[in-house]
This record gives sequence, C-alpha cells and structure tokens, in this order.
Amino acid sequence: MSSRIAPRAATWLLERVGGGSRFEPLIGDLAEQFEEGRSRLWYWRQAVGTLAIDLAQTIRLHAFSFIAAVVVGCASIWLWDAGWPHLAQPLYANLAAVSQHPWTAQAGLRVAGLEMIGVLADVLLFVTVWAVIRIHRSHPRAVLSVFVVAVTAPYIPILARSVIHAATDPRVTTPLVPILMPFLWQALCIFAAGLWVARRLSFTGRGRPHFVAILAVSLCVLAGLARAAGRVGEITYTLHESYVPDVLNVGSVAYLVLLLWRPGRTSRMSGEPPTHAGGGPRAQAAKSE
Amino acid sequence: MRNREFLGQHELIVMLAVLRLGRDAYGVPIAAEIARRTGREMLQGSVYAILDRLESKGFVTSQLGEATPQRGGRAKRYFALTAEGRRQVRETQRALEALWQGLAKTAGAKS
Repeated sequence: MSSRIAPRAATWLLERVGGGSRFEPLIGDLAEQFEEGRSRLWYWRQAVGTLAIDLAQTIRLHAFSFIAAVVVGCASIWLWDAGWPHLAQPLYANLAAVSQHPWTAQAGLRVAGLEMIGVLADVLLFVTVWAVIRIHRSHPRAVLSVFVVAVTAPYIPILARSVIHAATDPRVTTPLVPILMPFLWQALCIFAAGLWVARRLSFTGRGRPHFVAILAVSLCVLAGLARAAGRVGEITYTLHESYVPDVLNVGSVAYLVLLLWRPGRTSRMSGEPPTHAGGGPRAQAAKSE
Repeated sequence: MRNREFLGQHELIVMLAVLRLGRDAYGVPIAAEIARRTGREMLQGSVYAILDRLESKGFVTSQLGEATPQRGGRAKRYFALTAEGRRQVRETQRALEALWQGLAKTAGAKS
C-alpha cells in the first residue's frame, strides 16, 4: 500500500512538459523508488534532469526545425518591440495636456488606440506561438518551453532593476505584484496560445466538448479577461505614487489609460514615446517644472 | 572492412546491465545494477534515453508489464536485448579485448 506521495509538481512537470504516455514507466520507476525511501530532493533532481536530457536529445535529433522555430518566434517578437513605438507615437503626443481633459473625444480616441495596440500585441503573440509550434510540430511542449525562456530572459535584467529600484528607493512605494504582472501576463499568453495550438494539432478523437472548452478559454484570454485582471492590479497600484517598468505590456498601457481618465494626474514621458518615467500629483509636477 | 558503429560506453554499460538482469530488466533494477557494478549513479531519465536510442537502433526491445499501487498505478517497461543487440555487445567486447591485448602488463606495470 502506498504511504508516501511523490512531489506532485515534479510529477506534473514530467507528465505535461515531458510529453504524455512516453514518460509513464519512468514516472512509475521514480514513484517506486520514492516509496522505498528516496528523498523529495532526489525526486526533483531526477525529474529536472530527465527533462533536461529529453530536451537536449530533442534538439540534437531535430536541431534545424527546433532552432528555426525559436528564431522565427524571437524575430517576430523583436520586430514588434522595435515597430510598435512608431505605431503608438501619435497616441503619446502631448499626452500630459490631454490627460487634463479626460472626458473629451480626443482622450477617448487615445484610450481606444492604446487598447487596440494592446489587442494587436496579444493577437501577434498568439500567431507567433502558433507559428513556432507549427514549424516544430513533433515536440510542441519542448519548443514552447525554450521559446518562453528565450523571450522572457532579456526582460530579467529589467525586472531585477525594477525590483531593486522598488526596494531601495524610498520615493518608490511600488508593490512587487504590478511589476511582475506584465511578465506573468506574457508568459501566460504564450503558454495559453501554445497549449491551445498543441492540443489543436493533436486533436484526434477527444470529443467535441473538449475542443470547444479549449477554444472558449483561448478566446476568453484573447478577448481580454486577463487584460482586465491586469488592469485591476494596476488600478490598485496607481493609488500610490508609482513606477512602471519600461516594457511593452498590458500593465503599462493600462496605467497610461488610467492616467488619462484620472484628473489631477500628470504623465511625464522621458525620451522615447513608450517610456513612462513616472506619475504624480499635479502640484508635484508644477514644482519640478 | 565493414563500416560498423561501435557501442558507446554508456550504451554498453546499459546493455550489459539488461543482459545480467534477464527477465527482470526494467528501469529501477537496471539503474541499481549499474550503480552496484560501476559505483556510478545514473539518472533514471538518462537510462531511458539510452534505452530509447538502443531500441531505435534495433538492439533492444521493450514491452509494458504490470502496474502496481507502489508505482502509482503505472506499468513497468521491461527491456530485452535483440539478437542484433547481443551480437553488438560481443563485437564490442572482442574489439576492446583486442585493444587491451599486450597493454594489460604495461597498464599494470606500476603495481
């Protein structure tokens, strides 16, 4: 009779990331040895090591399509990152003045424009993930994991800087959740799109309700439920003096939108249009000017 | 001369462990046998990766066995060497012995 339960998260990783029934006997072997007295650390080491070996083997055997998929995905994200500030430039022009009159048609158009850019970014992300998995169809989970790491890794220094800034500068009273939210959002988007595409590709005989459920969840994410959640976080956050990391994300767009709709707030931009340097009461802005 | 690919060190170790275990060769005893005989502990995933590679080369076959509650209801995967696999092991042994001939004394000269 089984009395010890192996670490669920590690088993889940092996089942989901490792790829279905292929790992079943191996997970059974690990469970058997864990039951015989092996430690949790041993189990985790085996799980992570196994996934690393599997990934290395996948890359070795299918190097061209694997690398091509990741490069195409990263290039698409890079092109968007380079291009969207030009697209958004008119929306940011004279933003401080517009924010003084948030209920005008001009302000409304700005808000709509910023939201459209956000939706466009989400759609592009979905299409990119779809392309990544289509290019390397044989191991969708492995290529998706590497793509997420490749896309997220460049943001880690920015994230670290933001966290250090928030922790060390007494003028910044920023909770960590809003800083982390854009990164979590991006990772969530990539995984949601990736898993949907992966399921769609291998969708054979699972039954229509299963497919409809996956499609519905994906459309909900795409339609903006997660964006709305991000904005709720931002609203809580902007009740205090604030700081927004310098990356494209729903969080910073939502923050700028909020600035437009909140009288008494001044938005100041530093240099490039998407760079938001900070927000504060009008009196403070007047003082610094 | 025939263009033959020799077994790698890890492949040979795993195949010999499978050979020693006979009918009882599944993941756990294979890894335990390797650890006991060589003093090196291999990752379970590494053992499976090597066995998958050997199976794709036709040196090993596998079949699913019984599932037990101790294993979380998951089946064992039993491995056995094919005739081609056995021949490969013998050829590798012959090649290694031929290379060692005359070296044994030199290598052991220190002692």
